[in-house]
Amino acid sequence: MMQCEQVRELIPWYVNATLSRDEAAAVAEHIAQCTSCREELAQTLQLSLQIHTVIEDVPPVPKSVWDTVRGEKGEVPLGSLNLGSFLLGLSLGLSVTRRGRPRFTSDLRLFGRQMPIYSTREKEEQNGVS
Amino acid sequence: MAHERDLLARVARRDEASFQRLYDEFATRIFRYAITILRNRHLAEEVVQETMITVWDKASTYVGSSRVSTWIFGIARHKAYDILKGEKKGGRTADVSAVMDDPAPAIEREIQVHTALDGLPPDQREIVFLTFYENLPYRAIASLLEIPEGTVKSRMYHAKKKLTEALS
Repeated sequence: MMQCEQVRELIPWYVNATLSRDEAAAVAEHIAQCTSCREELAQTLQLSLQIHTVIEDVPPVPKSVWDTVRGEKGEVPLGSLNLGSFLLGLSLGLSVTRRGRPRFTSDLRLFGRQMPIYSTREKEEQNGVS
Repeated sequence: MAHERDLLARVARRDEASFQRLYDEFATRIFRYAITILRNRHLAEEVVQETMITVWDKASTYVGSSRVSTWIFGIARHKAYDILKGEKKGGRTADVSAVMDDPAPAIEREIQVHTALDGLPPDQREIVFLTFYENLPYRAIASLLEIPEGTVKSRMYHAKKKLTEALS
């Protein structure tokens, strides 16, 4: 059977119901027989509810933040060049991010379907550039 | 969780509508997490912006070994701590009063809890947030914070002790 110290360490996660089945069963078994750990559980449960309430009182993020995110993530197209026909061709595009970083893309058009073949964005992601 | 993975996969394919849904799902949660660390509303807004732009840019690098929420909170955490380091270097302090819009409607007990939380160091406060607000398992918290599981438990132990003392 678990000792009081081990049980008390796990009580916060017993309260948020995320312990493994074995851990939760061991805590429940101990608590059924230990008055002081039962008190600790009641106290932690109350604390958890109070903290949840206080955090819920923080107002939602202002709508202006979404407007900034939408604007910041956008790319401004500088120009594109289409070669070939709708059925078979090549598209080359150049754009600049809001942070001033140039992006180059190229796509192959085959029977009307667009297939990306190169993008500096993918290269940046592979190199960990944010 | 599958729903979040699906959304993120569509964001990786540059689906704007999915990005907005992901934003709606996470922005306020990130905001509250950043406030928990920084105790400053304006800096927390900055964290939300930076985090969501990074999610848009790097969605395709998500490998699926962790929950989407853990991945996103991990990004937010790095942004928040970068700001916190910068704020400390610059000698600026957190604007605690800016956390709550108008504390008047809050009952006295809530103000006490709020003050008790403010008294915790950021590393203990975030474990309290992730456990009691985000309902994360201690293993996920250890993975997110890149610390041993025992450290998560001991920080929680110290946090609870301080909170109980402050509220008694």
